Amino acid sequence: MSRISYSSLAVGTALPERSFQITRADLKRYADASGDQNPIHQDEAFAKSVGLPNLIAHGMYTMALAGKFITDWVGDITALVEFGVRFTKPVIVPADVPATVIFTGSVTELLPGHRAKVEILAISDGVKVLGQARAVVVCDE
Amino acid sequence: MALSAEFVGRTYRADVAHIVSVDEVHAFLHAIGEPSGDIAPPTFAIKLALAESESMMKSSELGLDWNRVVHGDQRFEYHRPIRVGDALDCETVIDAIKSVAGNDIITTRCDLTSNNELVVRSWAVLFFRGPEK
Repeated sequence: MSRISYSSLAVGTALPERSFQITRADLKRYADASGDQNPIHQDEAFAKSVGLPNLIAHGMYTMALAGKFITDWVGDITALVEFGVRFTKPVIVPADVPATVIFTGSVTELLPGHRAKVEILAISDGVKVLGQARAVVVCDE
Repeated sequence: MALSAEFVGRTYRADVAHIVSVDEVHAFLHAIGEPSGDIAPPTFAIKLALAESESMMKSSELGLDWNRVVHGDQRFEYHRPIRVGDALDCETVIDAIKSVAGNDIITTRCDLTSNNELVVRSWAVLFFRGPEK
């Protein structure tokens, strides 16, 4: 698979903004695929009973979308060598409308071996939902 | 009840290797909006790592309440992609235990290996909320 070229990158190169919508049906599918059946991601009444404002997305689902945001930009699903996030705030998923997560990002460091470090921002409903969201990717020459 | 620091370094190994099936990779890809393929996406490793942590944390020895867990941080280091057909061994180590304001904060490291070669190493920070006061 062809990847973004390392020589086209500089510190500050932006990853074009993308937004993803998350519905409750998506969370059910993710729960079944990942094995994470915690009811706070599927049962609104349960989520509220443990003090959450509403049903929330799996943090790992948001991280998966962040991964897709980065690997789509590079052009290869296998481009990551490191990937880490902090789950700062939950993504709230109401019953009637999908939640939206908007990703932006930029290159923060160029590394040897055609590698680049990127830092991304994930915003949902005006709130930063991931912190310290960083990845190292391997590019083409 | 704060978890004893004596558990730091404790290691748990899954009894049998997990054979990565085409169905589970496709289901995971589909769930995150990726087309079907034989290569698992970057966060697929969590499926194995978290299942292993869950059984470890629920073990009578640690006896933590999995219903009170909040995922704080997650980090992966990739040595090669996970593919359909891989036989992955999973070993989980408790890297650190802290107790802050009645909550246990546990860092686990999970190594997925194939024929003793590292495929994905991951770290999770899990918060176990203490009882409401």
